[in-house]
Amino acid sequence: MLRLVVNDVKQMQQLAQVISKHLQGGDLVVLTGDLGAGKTVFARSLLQALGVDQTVTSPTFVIMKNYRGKFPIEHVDIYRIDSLEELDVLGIPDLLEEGHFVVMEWGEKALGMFSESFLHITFERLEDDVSLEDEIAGQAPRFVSLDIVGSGFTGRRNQLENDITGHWGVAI
Amino acid sequence: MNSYPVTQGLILGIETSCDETAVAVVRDGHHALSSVISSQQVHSKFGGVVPELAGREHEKQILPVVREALTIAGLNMISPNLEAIAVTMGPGLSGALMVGVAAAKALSIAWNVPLVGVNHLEGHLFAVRLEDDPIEYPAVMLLVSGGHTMLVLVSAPGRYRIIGQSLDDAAGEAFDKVARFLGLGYPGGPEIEKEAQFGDPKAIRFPRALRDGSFNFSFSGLKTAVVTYARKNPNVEVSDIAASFQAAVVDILVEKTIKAAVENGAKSVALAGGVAANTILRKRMVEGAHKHQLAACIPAKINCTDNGAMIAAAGAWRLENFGPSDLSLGAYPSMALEEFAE
Repeated sequence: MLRLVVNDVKQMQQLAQVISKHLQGGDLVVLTGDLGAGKTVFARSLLQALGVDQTVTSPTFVIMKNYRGKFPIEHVDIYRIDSLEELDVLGIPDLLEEGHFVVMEWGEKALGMFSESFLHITFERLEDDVSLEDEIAGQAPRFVSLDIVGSGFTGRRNQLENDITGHWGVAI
Repeated sequence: MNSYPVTQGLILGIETSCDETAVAVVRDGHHALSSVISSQQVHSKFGGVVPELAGREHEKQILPVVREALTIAGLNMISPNLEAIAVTMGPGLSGALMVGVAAAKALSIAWNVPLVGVNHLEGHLFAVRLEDDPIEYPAVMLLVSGGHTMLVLVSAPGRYRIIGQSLDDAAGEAFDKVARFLGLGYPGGPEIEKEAQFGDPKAIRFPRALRDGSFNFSFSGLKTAVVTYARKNPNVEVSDIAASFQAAVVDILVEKTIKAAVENGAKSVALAGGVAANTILRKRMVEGAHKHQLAACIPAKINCTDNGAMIAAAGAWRLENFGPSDLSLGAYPSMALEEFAE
């Protein structure tokens, strides 16, 4: 697992850019973290880096939004989902099988659900003494942890990790 | 433009785009004789928010709700003597939309009456026509709900230009997420409003985002600001946070709506969508409009949230101007309002 400090929104966008280079259709990326921790900022940057040129708005209300980038992309948000049955109906394994790239926000509830390998990215606030002004201006730092769960991403794992540590170094 | 006789009869409006199974009977395109709204218990074990499952719940409700709407309007289920059936065909949750469209088609064949597909967003814009006072065009309408936040310049019915919208979260979504974070219930809008009554809207100065001269909105940063503030100030009253958050949302919605109306030479402003049921927003929009000599059309709360009457009102207008839809009508989950503008 890698754990980094990302200092501001701009760096978060850069991180998304670096990670995007190692992703392909059929990959699943699960984002976890509290409200306002940076999931959506990251997801939006990631989708843009993957070639989506429309505005990426929150998928919370509709649960799943489809985009066309380098490959078909599903932006999923399971914030409003309460049951495994509901999650099941989304048919995420099928979409992955068909080569769709899936990025899922609020994935906490689903972590044990996937037999597929996935890249798990967690966002945390660094500390509470950041001023409200800095937070609003996107100047507040975050801890970001990256973990590849399962045996997937073979052949890409090292490159991804090296690329990230090359840019950021590793925290703690 | 008139390709169909002027609508004077009764239109049945069916709306199943999201959580509500709603059916209404509207006369002359203006007068609701009945409007039945059966809300799904979104977060209960039944139904649910996933399109396919929401659809199952609509399936159970749709015919009982149609029967109730007809009965209240003094009509019977066998031969209700309608002029047309209007139905929401998009945007919305696919499985939910399909139930309404399928029911409307079946009833259209059974009763031998024309079918009219309606865009859900256009439906919201027609809620103003259910009021006694006719709205003066051009109007700037703020459509604000759990899924949408947009400013639409309506130069006449059917003539729409989206002049601004949320770049991230819809306002209703921000209400829901902040309510959940503060430990209040769902849906968040009414819960925040209730809690805010006991708080000071000036207690905390939350940011008013995108004061950049554009008519776009952003509520993601505000949500983060609320979380940051609450974490740093654990002893602050929840009611003060709720009131201050609500004030920040309302401020920016009113400010941009009025500015858009003034800059575009509109004669009136109007509210639509679920968040338009918020009392403070309604009050502040009227005040803001009057300050700038604009008329304000604030539809009854029941016509702001998803309902069948607005769909019937929009359907009446569509029928009159463009004629009926054919039976190949489908459900279009991501249909844009612009596709409907003339």
